[in-house]
Amino acid sequence: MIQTGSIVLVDPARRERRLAELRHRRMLLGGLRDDVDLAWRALIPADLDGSWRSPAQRGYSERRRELADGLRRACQDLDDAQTAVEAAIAAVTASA
Amino acid sequence: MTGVDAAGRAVPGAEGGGSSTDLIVSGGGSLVATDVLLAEAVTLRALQAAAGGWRERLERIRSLDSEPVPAPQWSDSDVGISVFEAERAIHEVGERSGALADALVCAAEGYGRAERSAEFLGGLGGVWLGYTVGRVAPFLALAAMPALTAGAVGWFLGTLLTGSRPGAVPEAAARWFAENPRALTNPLLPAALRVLVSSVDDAAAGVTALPYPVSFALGDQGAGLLGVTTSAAGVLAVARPLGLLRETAVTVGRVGRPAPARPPTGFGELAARIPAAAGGAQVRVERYGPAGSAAWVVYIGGTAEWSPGVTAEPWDLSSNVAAVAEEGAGSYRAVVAAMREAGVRPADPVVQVGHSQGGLVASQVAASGQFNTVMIATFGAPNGQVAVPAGLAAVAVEHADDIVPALGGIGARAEDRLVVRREVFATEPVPVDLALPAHALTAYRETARLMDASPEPRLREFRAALGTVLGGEPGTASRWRGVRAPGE
Repeated sequence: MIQTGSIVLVDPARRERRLAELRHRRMLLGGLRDDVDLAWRALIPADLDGSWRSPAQRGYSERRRELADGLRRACQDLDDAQTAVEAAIAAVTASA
Repeated sequence: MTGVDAAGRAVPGAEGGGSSTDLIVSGGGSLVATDVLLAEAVTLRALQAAAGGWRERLERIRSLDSEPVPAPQWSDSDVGISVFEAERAIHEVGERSGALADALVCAAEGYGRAERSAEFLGGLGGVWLGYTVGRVAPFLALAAMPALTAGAVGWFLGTLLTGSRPGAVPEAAARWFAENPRALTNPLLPAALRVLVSSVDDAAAGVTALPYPVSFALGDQGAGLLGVTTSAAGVLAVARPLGLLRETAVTVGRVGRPAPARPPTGFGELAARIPAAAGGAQVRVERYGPAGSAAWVVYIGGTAEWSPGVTAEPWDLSSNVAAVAEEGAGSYRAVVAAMREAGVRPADPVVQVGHSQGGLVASQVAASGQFNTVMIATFGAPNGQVAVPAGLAAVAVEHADDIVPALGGIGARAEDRLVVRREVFATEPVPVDLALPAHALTAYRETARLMDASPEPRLREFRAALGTVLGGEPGTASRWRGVRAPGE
């Protein structure tokens, strides 16, 4: 008998199905994490100082930084999700 | 600065070359935008759309969990809570990027409106100043002001462009300009010149004691009955008795044999095909489609001869002033003759393209109604006062540090055309070996290429319309040269 979260798995077939599902989720999470990371990196280098200099420009730069911070947070959450899925996979695998 | 590719998508890491690659687009209706702001808005819209897609993917990831842990039982290490947090952060990014893109578009519109308002108010100030000076100054001196102003500007430009020595520009002044190359590329100079050229008639109106409101109503900012055109006519009235700026008969002949050509697809190709070489063909005519339903592109070069005397070259200073005065410039007549010789019929759709004087002539051909001009693109042309027909797709490209477009005065009908402005030497050193480098056709060709890469929707519409008018099939190109007949 193994446990993932609060779920107890005793059936081998059910365990394999659960493993496949977790691996698929890990793959999807990895791809999504890469895309969000790419968007974050594209947003970072914005330097508009040469284009317009004004309080509005500074305000815009600040909002843009907040957007980048939001993407960074999303990346970290997706990292955490991947880590949790890895742990679940390890737990299910260890029960075999 | 995040760049954008030709499709308007964000290109991570693509760096612009400073503000000298920035385009400011205004006119042509209520929407005005700067290129940088618009590019940023495109980037943010793309991010907003991406965030929507990411949320859908997260929803799918969530739905793949056949044995989910109920939210109340989540611990810090559960997948569910991390996915939930990621979804919340991405939702916030999507909302914020959308709001920021909306704000950018609003800011761009306001920026363009402010620029147009500043130009209008500057013109208003010029009218008032000219009128006031005219009221108090001696009549004879002021009567000569239009001629002196435009004449002095033309003479000075001619001296610079031909590189002629003293006798023309005093040695000290020439040396000063050589040591201060930014003097003639300072954007303030074209702005001031634009107001000055538009105001000399108001000074004359002040002299004649015409009430100010009447002067304003008749001038550039009003009915347009007085203005740059009357100023240029004054120049001709003074110069022609002296044997200068005289018009002559003009003959036109084809240069070489017709050659195959492919339809231009954007501003870069339009600018690249404008004749540039002095002494060669001044006009290039391209025909696309079968005879009977042909579409045409007419490319007209800029001034080739800056002497005020009569030479064989119709693209001269005489044509410049006559064109501004709308008095049948030699170059205008040569273009009309070349179009007829090439086979352009009055109903055939024509795309007009020109640089400098060629742009002014292109605008006047369009305004004349002699041909069915459907699109026009001008580069560095002093054509602000030429009223092109309503509904015509018109784009005027003006460098903020080029004084030649300013000679056309303040554009009184900005809503009829799309004006694209760029400061060429905002961040780059000004070449000391070139007179008026911001007016050079090469500089305008570079701007044209930037316009092709711009996500500005009206510039994209213009490029798309080119394809609609000209089709995609190859055509033929012929080159034409006009020559003055001084004796006639």
